[in-house]
This record gives sequence, C-alpha cells and structure tokens, in this order.
Amino acid sequence: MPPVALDAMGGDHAPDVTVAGALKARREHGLDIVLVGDPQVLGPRLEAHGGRREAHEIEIVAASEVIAMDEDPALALRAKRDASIRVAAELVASGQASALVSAGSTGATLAAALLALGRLRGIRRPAVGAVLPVDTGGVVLVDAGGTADATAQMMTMFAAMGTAYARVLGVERPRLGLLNVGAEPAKGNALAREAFELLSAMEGFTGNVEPDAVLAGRVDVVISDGFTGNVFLKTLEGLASPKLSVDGGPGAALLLGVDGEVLVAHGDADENAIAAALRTATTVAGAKLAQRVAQRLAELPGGG
Amino acid sequence: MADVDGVLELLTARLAAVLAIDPAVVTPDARFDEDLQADSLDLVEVIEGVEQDLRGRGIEVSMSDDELATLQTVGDAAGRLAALARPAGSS
Repeated sequence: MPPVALDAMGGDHAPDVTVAGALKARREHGLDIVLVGDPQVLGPRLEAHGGRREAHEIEIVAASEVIAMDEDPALALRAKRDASIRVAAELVASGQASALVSAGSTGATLAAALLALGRLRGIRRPAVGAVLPVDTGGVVLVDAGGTADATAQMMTMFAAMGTAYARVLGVERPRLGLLNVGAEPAKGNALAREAFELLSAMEGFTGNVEPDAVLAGRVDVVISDGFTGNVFLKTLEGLASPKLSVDGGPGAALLLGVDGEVLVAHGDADENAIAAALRTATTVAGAKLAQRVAQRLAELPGGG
Repeated sequence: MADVDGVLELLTARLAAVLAIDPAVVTPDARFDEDLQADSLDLVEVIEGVEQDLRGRGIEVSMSDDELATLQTVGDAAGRLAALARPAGSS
C-alpha cells in the first residue's frame, strides 16, 4: 500500500509537531509516511533526529506554498498550485499516496480534496464525519466542521453520508437525529426547521435530538450544519481531553463525499494526535473506507 | 478562440454536477450567487473542470483569479473562457 501523505505545513504547530508526529508513528507503528512541504523547512527538522533510524525512512515531497488559515480556501488553492495541501491531495489522486492527513484549514483540505479527487456522485458538498467520543460507542456526527454555512439540502446529503458511514462501521439500520435545541419538530433556527422537513422523508430519521440524547446513545448518526457540529465536537473533546491527550484518540475525522481517503486533524493537534491521525489514516486506507462509503451511498434510495 | 455555445455546454454539465441541479436551470442569464447558490469553491471547481475539459480537446485556457472573482453569470463565464481559449501549443 502506498504511504500516507501528511500535509506537514498544515496546523497551528506545524512543522515541528507534524514532523514529530510522523516520526512517532513510524517508530511506534512502522507506518509508511511522506511529508509534504518545503524541504528547506522539513529537511533540517528530520536531520535533527538524524540519529534515529526512522528519520531516514520518511521521504519529503516538495511543496513550496502554504494555504493560510485566513485565506479563502478555493481562491487560495487556485493561486497557489504548489500549496502543500494541494500537492498532498494530488498524491492521493495519482495513487502515489493511499490517504491524506492534514491539520491545516479544513476548508482548504475540503477544497483541495474536491479539486484533486473529485466528488462522489450526487454529493453537493463533502462533509467531515467524526466518530464521537461517547461512552455508548460509535456515534457518527456529520457535518463536524466542513461547511459552516450549510443549506438544508446539503444537510440531507450529510444524513446520507452519515448513514453510509455508520453502515460501514457495522450499524445496519442507523437511527438518524438532527442536532437541535429541543426535541419538538418546530424547534431550532430557520435552517434546522427547514432541514427537519427534508429529513423527515429519510429512512431512519427519528427527529430532533438534544446533546444529552446523543450522549445517551439514542441515535447512531447526528446531523448538523458544520458550524454547530464543530462546536459540539470540540465541546465533547474538551470534556474528554484527559483521555484523548494520552492516546491521541482517533486523531482525525474523515472527509466524506470525495473519491479518496482524506482525514482532517485538529489545527492544534500535538504530536500524539498527529501520530494517531496517521494510524487512523493507514487503517482507513487499508479498509478502503471511501470506496465502501460510496457503495453504501449508492444503495440508498435516490443514491449513486 | 473556442465557440461560446460549446463552452456553455461544458459549463452547464459541470454546474449541474457540482451543484446537483437540473441542467435546465443553467441559463446564460443565471447568476452564480443569487440564482444558482454557487459559492467560491463551487465556481473554482466548475471553472477548473471546464479548463480541464477544454484541455482534453486540445484547447488551452486559464482564467486569472481576478477575472474569476468578477464573474456574475453563466454567460459571463462562457464568454470569458471562449475569449481566452487558444489551441494547445500556440503562443
């Protein structure tokens, strides 16, 4: 299997943390990784660990530009053809990498993945699918932060992608819930009310769910716009942080709806989280998760 | 130069796929933002897709970011792309 491409310039603490995380993943799990970024910046950092075997086993793929967190992702990617996230996505598109991990701008990762890998058929906008750290087991949240200003129509696609992801994870008849401020049908803002109407036609939709119902395991898939979903995810992760900081948790969430394995890590990921994300990426790539999600999407009514 | 109608056809197909809409609503007067609800990412994806389609037909075209940012309607985009198009390998 080709190596996992790590956008080594992406993230609040890159490239120190991305290089350290890659070395950790190589040393502890023998993972195959390429670092994508400026060799002038990454080379010395690898050389600083030159006494270690793993420092010589990690390649650098050159990319001279970086998308900043405050840039419009799409226009920035068009202007910066040699941006590390774009080069990394193109490695996956060409088959030279099995998956992409980035702790940089989620918007840029989504845009780069769309442009390089293409969308799955019928998907209006890819979404971030996160498996929530809840005691009751794998609850999938879509969208966990890909599109802050989603439309209600996009949210029906989030529901479809979340359903497909949950089925791949082993839940044959996922129960879907719309994250909301109350359980009653008329609750929430205009977007939530419009999304509720559209989602009501979907198989498995149980209605609105409040956060406590999610934590109690009353749904298998939680649907949300990206802004609300991201706040919810970060709240849960903040509460669970003592455990997550020890083993890094899964380290990353999956970008659903593109034709390839793309994982997004938190911007402030430390080396443990980066190493965990690389481990998750390797697992996901080995399981051909994107392909299996695409197959499940095609099985849904109106899908494929 | 490429034929505007031909470019329009390519644009329509790409817009329909990216926006998941009926091609019939993609008219030359359709505004990307107000009528089609296309944002900057959609527009970049569509324009890059059409540039790729034209390249496959031996036509080189590359719209600048400044021009892309000024596009208002489907017709604007078709006209601009057609005007920028050159046979591949020409100066």
